[in-house]
Amino acid sequence: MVAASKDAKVGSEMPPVRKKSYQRSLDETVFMADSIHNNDYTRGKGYAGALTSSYVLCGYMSELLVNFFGPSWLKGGQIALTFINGGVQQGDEITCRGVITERVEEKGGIRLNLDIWMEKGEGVKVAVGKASGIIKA
Amino acid sequence: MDMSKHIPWDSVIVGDTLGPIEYVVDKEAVEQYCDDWKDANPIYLEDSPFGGPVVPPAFRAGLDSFRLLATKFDSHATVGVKTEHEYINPAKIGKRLITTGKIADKYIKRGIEYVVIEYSMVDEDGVEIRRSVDHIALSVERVTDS
Repeated sequence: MVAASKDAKVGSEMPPVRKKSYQRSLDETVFMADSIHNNDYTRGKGYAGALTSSYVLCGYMSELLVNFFGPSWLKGGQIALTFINGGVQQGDEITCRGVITERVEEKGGIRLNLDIWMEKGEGVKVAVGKASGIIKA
Repeated sequence: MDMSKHIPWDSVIVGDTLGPIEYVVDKEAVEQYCDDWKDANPIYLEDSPFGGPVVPPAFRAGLDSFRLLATKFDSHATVGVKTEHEYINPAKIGKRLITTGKIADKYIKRGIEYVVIEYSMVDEDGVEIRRSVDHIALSVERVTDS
């Protein structure tokens, strides 16, 4: 595990973020019969239950990246995520992870490119993607 | 071809603009975010190098595209499948944030209809906050077998 620094090496893993998935509206809102947030509907479509919204999962991945890059993430950070494998359900234990894949020198510092992903339960990937942020020189 | 029950495919016009949507993110909304996400970073709640606490960068990231779509369509059956964000500047707590977008593309893959929403956020002073692209399935119902 490594914190973001100008010495961070390709192949180094980021400190993971672990969470119990929670979306307030899934507890507090009654969703329409064909909403992906409706338990009966999504189970009928082969999912484990109502889907947690992508913006909630994006928030968990964001914590991973803010922890790693610090405030510099908010000026120049980039993230792209694809949601796969049936998504996340309320109460799932999830882990956000990342690994440095590339270092690119650019004006003002070094951009670290990362592979990032989210696992639930026993390691099933439910989101995969790329991110990058700048380490000041 | 069948279509999404709620968003007729032919009514989705690539290039159509969406929004704006506007809201103020106040201290209470940030505290709610930090509590719901269990992410009590002091740069959101106390102070930051940007001069005071800032809005969490992922606040509504990947949600505003659905809100933009909902300005023209019944989007209740949609589901996000891809989300991309570039953070330009932190948003200051208490500022009005304005998001505008457009339908950048639409496609059908494995029988599911998708729209691509490009959108960007500025604050009330015109400071650019975030640029985003989301791919949204109109529903999980297949409209074709291929």
